[in-house]
Amino acid sequence: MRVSTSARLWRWPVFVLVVVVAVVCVLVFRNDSMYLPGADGRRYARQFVVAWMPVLGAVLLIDPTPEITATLPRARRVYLVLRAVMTAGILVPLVLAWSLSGQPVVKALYEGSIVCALITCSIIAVSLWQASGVLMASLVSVLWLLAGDTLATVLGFADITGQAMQVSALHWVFALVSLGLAAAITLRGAGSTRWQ
Amino acid sequence: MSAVFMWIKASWKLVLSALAIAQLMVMYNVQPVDGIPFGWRVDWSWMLSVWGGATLLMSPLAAAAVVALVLLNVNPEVQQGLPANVPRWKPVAHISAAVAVQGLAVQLIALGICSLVCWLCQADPRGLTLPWQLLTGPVALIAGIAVGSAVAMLIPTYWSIPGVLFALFLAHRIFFWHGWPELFTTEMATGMVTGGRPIPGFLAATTWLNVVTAVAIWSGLIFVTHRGRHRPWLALLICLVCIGGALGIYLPFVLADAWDTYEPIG
Repeated sequence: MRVSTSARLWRWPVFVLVVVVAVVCVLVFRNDSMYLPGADGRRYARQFVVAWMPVLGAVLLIDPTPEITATLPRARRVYLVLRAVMTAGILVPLVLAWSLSGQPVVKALYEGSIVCALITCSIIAVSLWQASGVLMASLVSVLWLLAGDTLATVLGFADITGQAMQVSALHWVFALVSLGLAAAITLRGAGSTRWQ
Repeated sequence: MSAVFMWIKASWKLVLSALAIAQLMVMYNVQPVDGIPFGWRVDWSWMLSVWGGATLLMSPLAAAAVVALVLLNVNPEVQQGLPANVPRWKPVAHISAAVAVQGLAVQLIALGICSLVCWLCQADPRGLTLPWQLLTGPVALIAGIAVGSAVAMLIPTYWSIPGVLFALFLAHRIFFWHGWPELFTTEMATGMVTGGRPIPGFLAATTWLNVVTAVAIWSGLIFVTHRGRHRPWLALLICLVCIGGALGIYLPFVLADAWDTYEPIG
């Protein structure tokens, strides 16, 4: 009883609280960074938000009563609204962070690409595998926190020293493709029988 | 034993693969030597440091895996429906043991492969601090899994899966710059420590701290989740003794304001 009750009643207030905490963090620590042992460079507060918000938001998608929801005539619309609220809640603190932190545009494009990719991964994983999907999405987020600078260099968003580069058309293509994927998966869902 | 084996069969695709990815990722993520990755191949002590240090990812992941498996299979509704003579903690203990066996198997296989690589590369053995370097990683993993068991039973919500993973992942940050014994995740050398070796007393304290913490968590869980009239007071006593033991191990390092975790060789 406790799992389904807590999930049904508390997930929305908890998610609102998580978004508020994320907004406060990016406002207070907008340009602060810390050394993360094992990582390939320093990590800014907003990068923790990039890594963790998609997973924390994805918990919203675990339906405590899928059998009941599936019988609703507007089940598809309910799930669409859930996914849309989740994506909006993730992007609000990050848009604030990117606009206030004064970081180069190329860094915002890189982090935007990553957060959209993580949103896509989280929706697919949680829709298909529920709690196991949350676990795998959490692992992907932590791996990005550890190897984010290396990935930026591989994708062409930074040079070998980790410095940001000038914005190029390729950066915009990456960001827009990633955004398009996230938008498509948010609108359509992951194709699971539980979710369609 | 058969229950543990059943849980291993049911979860190995998820748990074993995730833990193996975590171990491999950390083993790869160190300074290359001569431009070739996996630089630890030239130094036995560095290899064991990174091998044990993989708990940076493995402990949080194993703890979160326990929470996920418990919520999926024996959530509180199922626990309430257990017969009165079956303790609530028993199925959680079986799941935790299954995850622990898989984690230790990944560590054992990784140790075998890395030892073979070091042996083939004629690595430098002077910095070894045995047997402690072989023990800190496994016991930290077991302590991390105990945290997962406690969270799964006491805070049974889906938020707990990413919550425990992120909390344990960041836990090592708190006292990272101090030379105090480490809980749940152990530090590792991302570059070669020439002329130095881990201090045996520090590694021994880390090992025993994780052992008594794991025992304290589990005995506390057995006491707290007990149903029926006859409270297991022995479990409470063991829990309190272990908490005292943990403080006894930790405080001397805090009072001495220890900073160093390495000492010169010889």
